[in-house]
Amino acid sequence: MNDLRFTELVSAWLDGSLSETESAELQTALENSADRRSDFVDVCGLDADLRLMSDVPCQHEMQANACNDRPVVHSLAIRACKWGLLAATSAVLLFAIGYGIGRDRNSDATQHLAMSEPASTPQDETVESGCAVLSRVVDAKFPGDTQYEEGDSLQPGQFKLLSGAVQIDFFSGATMLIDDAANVNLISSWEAECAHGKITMRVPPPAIGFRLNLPEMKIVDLGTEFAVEVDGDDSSLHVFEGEVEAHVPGSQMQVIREGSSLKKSTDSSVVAGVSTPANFPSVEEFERRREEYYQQKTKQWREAMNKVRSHERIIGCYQFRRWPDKKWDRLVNNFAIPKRRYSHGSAVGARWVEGRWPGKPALEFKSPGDRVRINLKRTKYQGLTMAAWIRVDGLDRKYNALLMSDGYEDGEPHWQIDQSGRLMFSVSYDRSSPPGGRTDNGNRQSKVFYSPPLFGASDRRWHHVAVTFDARTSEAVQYFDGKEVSREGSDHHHEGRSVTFGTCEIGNWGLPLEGVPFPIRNLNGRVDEFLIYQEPLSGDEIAALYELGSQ
Amino acid sequence: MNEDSSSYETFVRLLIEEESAVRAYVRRLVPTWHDVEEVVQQTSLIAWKKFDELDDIDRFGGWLMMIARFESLKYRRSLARSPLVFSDKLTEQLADATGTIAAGDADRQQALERCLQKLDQAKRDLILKVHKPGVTVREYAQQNDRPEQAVYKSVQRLRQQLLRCIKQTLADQGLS
Repeated sequence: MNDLRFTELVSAWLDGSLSETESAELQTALENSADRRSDFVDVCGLDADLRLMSDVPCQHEMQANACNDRPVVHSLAIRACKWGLLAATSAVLLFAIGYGIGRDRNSDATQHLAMSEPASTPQDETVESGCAVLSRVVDAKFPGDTQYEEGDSLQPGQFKLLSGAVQIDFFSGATMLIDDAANVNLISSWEAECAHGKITMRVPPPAIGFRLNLPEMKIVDLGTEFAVEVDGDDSSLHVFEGEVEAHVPGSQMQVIREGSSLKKSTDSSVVAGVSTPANFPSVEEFERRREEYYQQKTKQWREAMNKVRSHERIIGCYQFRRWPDKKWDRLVNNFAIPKRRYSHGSAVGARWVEGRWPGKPALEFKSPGDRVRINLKRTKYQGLTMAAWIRVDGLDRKYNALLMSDGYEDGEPHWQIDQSGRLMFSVSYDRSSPPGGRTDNGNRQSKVFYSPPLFGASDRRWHHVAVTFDARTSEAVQYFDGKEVSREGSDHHHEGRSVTFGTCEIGNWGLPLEGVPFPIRNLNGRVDEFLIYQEPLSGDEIAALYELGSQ
Repeated sequence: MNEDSSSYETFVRLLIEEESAVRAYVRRLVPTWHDVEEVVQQTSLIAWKKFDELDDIDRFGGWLMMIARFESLKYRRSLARSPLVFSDKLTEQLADATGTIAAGDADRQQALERCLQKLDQAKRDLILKVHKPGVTVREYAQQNDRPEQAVYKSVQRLRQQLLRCIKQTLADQGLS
């Protein structure tokens, strides 16, 4: 059979006019050739696409309503109608998600600021006063508002844990594992007290001589692994490896060796026994639990992100997921549904590192070339929201980029952090000479919205930052860790303005306009999530995004 | 918003995203567009009923195609014998065939739109009109008082022209 005949028969089949004889002829051709089947599949695909495109959107009254409420996405509207009830319900649902949540305008910015301050490393304390690093945290709860993250420096003083487990690395080299509720006093890099709880210590040679004090016992390590348990008046010591000196008030110093234990209560004498490693956290067990915990956390986060990515108004959902396949190493997928293949980001220079928790990848921006390029096309919107999880390692530049549109042309946003740690957001608008209005340099006019200073020079903690902008009112609201920190309108406001993105960069400002000198604005830090919406979200929605990502 | 409605919303969004792919897939397995609509509707319902059994929504597309495949084969059996209904063996073969266009729905449809723009107005109108629901080439020719065979030939040529153009467009974009 020649190609022409085959084409004729396929067309006849598609048009429903195939005769019995023709059918047999076509079927034989298809059964005998994979190439013919492949061509057949292509033509069928084209037929389906053409039919979807030619379809008349609305025919019934109820479905018509569903259509009219939908945005003018042609094919979407068609499909919404085709599904009848299913689609009508979904249209209502989508509508409710997009607009049903009220705006919270009662937030008190000053209060939030006061609350946000203790979260940063206090600037009046220098690193030299620290004695240890919190190197591992597993599902740990701390009393009050205290929040510790892995990598935090610990100052001498009380350290209380309500539940979970942590590992503390003393600057001397000694390592302390704490499991479950405990109350420990960190004295120096060489000394600590345990008032309550279960602790395992591992002391490598450089840290020999590390002292751990219990209510009824002082322990000097001689290079070993041992554990202590303090419960009320009872103090016990278990040596798993090497030996330690135990000083019990009222009795001679004893050397406790591998496999032995010592127990002392206030009103009873010292009892020697056998050590029980199984009762204490071991490094291996600790690692296993930690891994399990973070895997679970990653899973929960992914599930939560499945809702985020389906938000009706989301256009950019960059989750910074790294693909094991190296081929995709530079790809920063946009997970927003429906998929926009063109909007996947491309990482330039930036390295994959650990994000908010182990197992959550992030991109690290360090050198002036590092950036993620994205293209969101020049669709115009009436507003926007950008929300990101970032870790600022330093404020090296006068302006440090979060998301910058390439050209900063009419309606395009710039979002950055200035050197004093303030979030700054602006949208570029062509000057339209409003009577009495101020104009900035050149033919552009843009109001810069600042937050109060939020980032210290060496904050190095993960924070959630967000900005919403409503082009219909020119009001911008910025958020820090879920709380509103600035809300301001613009006296340049004009009716009929919109916002758009075009090509942009996360973490840098790239592809300069020809002939325009280009300042370096690369971020020094990490980004592990960047969401972009085509409307201003409410304060409650921003708070929800923060909650979702910080748990 | 409760858990159910949120998962429903996710489902609908995923379904909308996959819908043209599932239609294109089912198109080769059942004879008419009306049959495609029937199967896709049934597929959507089954998928929603089983949605909570799907562990990884990133695999929604493949999962939906499996349901569509099963539903298409089931639907075929309910059809009366007709020259348009292919043999079981061929239908299975077609269900496994992949075609030469690998690009995703959005890219493919965008390419199609571009290619349609390249056609002159009359040709574009013709190809879109004969693909409207319920319209056949024969009816179109009769209503427009044109010789049936000539319309058939034109439509065939336009299909081939569009396919070539789509493949070329996708290849130029490095997508096929």
